[in-house]
Amino acid sequence: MSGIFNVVRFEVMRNLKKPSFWIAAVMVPIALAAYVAICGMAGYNMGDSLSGGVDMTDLEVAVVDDANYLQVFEIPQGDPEEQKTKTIAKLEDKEQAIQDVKDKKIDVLYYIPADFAESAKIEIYVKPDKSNILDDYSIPIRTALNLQASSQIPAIDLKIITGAIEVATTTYDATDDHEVDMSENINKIIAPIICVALFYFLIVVLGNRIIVAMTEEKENRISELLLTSIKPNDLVIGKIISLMILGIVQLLVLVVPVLIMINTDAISVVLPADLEISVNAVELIKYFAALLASYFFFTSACVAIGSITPTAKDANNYSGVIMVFMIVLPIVFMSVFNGEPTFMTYFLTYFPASAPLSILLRGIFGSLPTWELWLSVADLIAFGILCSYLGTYFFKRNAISFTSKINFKKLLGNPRKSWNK
Amino acid sequence: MVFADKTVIKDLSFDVKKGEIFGLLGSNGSGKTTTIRALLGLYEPTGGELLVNGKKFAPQDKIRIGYLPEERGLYKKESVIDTMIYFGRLRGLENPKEWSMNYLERVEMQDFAKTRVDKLSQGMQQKVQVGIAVMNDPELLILDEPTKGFDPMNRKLLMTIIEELHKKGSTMILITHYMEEVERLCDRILLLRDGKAKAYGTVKDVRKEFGGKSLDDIFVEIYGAKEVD
Repeated sequence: MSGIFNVVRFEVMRNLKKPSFWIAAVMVPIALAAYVAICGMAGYNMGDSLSGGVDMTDLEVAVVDDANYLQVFEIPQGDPEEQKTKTIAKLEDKEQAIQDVKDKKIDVLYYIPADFAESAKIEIYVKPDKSNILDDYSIPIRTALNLQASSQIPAIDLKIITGAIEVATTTYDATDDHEVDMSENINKIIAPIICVALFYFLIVVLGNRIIVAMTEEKENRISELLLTSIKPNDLVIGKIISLMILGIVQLLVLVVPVLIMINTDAISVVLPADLEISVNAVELIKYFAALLASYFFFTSACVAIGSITPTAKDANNYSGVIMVFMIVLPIVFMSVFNGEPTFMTYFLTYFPASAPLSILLRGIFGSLPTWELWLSVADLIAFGILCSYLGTYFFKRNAISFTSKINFKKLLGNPRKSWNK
Repeated sequence: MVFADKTVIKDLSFDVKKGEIFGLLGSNGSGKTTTIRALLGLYEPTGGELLVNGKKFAPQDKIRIGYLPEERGLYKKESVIDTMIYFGRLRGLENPKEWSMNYLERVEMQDFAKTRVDKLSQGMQQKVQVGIAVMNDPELLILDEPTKGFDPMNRKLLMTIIEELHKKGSTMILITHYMEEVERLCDRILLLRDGKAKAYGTVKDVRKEFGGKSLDDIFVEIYGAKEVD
């Protein structure tokens, strides 16, 4: 037991000391924070623009309407409760009006051409010192045209056109037939979506580190020295535990900033204001268990591959096969996860290499009953343990084979008794 | 000991007495390293057994074994002290850091404690490997070509360390190609050829058996001049 503990301590500490570990770990949270910051800044600017774009209070605004279309010249401005309005002056001569803009007598001029009914195009002229490519001077005329058009359309037609129809949908849960509302459905898929993202993050960031973990000793010719200091079982188990710990550290580095953002309401910057998301804790625990079981299986499988192959390069070739099963298969057959389960659905759910993503995708489609989720978790853990056993078995036989070829005959030959178990 | 269809070690039997330095000699490919790996359980022997004090050896006997393998390396990207502490902990040392610092001082490497292994010269790396092999004050120390790649000064230092451990009562198996090391250090020797014993006994007895020849000449006689390195 102390051997396992020492391996875990060494492996975890040396990885935590590596800058590359932290660069990979903080890369996503930094990118997320940068995105939030950019959204926040853009939202602030956009907010300014949308709430009037430019402060029009002290501006002279005029329109030349050759189409004789515009009838609304008073538009609301600023806080609706203050009921302030802005008047758009009506002029007749376009050329003179443009000259007035150039002479800074008019700040903003709107020109509605005679063919406006066909072209739906308006020209805007802004006096020189007011022009700014980030400012939106079209808001007043748009508002005026909007008010005019809305007043001519029946209220219900307007709601239909603007998509303001309210919808009440009732759906039935595929797993237990109980009635669910849409918000429940949306909140249910959040947990598997989060876990899919985290699983991809883990295998991308830690995949190579896992592969290298079991080949490093062989490539550096340390295994002979090491195996006279520790039992192979303890070494392999210690490696798997340390990789699990490193995975959890990576997850915490990613999840903690998101939780902080949620608690400080910073997340609202990137989400639509009217979108209310609540993560169901029970669902999150269920899918987080599936995520950990998936990562355990992935780690164990990579450790087993690493124990067979002499170099990390060889191991990468073989782990590519697992990646195909893990990522490509569930995506290619994604349609089988939606609706009534078929043989393929069950195969992908319980075949350990394709199970991780299949479980989470079925969760997103709402076609995974809770009992099946726990069965899949048990399935992944069982296969993970089997892979750990195979990793130990192969490592014992292959730890001091420093050649570049895999000798399957030697690996799979009749086991002989050895006293150094 | 059989690999695939090839018998590497056949009908080999020898004993190593407590506190002696035992020389395991032979040309390249004669089966020395394979014999040691089978004894240590790194290879699963086809047959045979290892007896310690007349009893079949089992890991739970907790004999302190030190081993310096022929194929040796270290964690290249770790510091010297971190590597030594790790192996010290695995070998059950109570204060591996203190032991390691004392050893590094002894081999004049105290200034390299925090240096990454891949920044060290080959000779320095070997000193670290020797330190790891002897750090648990081994009852049985197996050294496979311990001076390979050492300059004369470091070879002398290593010989001194071996002699000190011997005086403290360690039993040693020494695999080497250097006959002067054998004559200086070994109490008894075994010469292997093609996995079979060709000479076995005290250095004095073996020399007597071969008509008083030097160990170098005996080596040449057994393996043939062409085979000798």
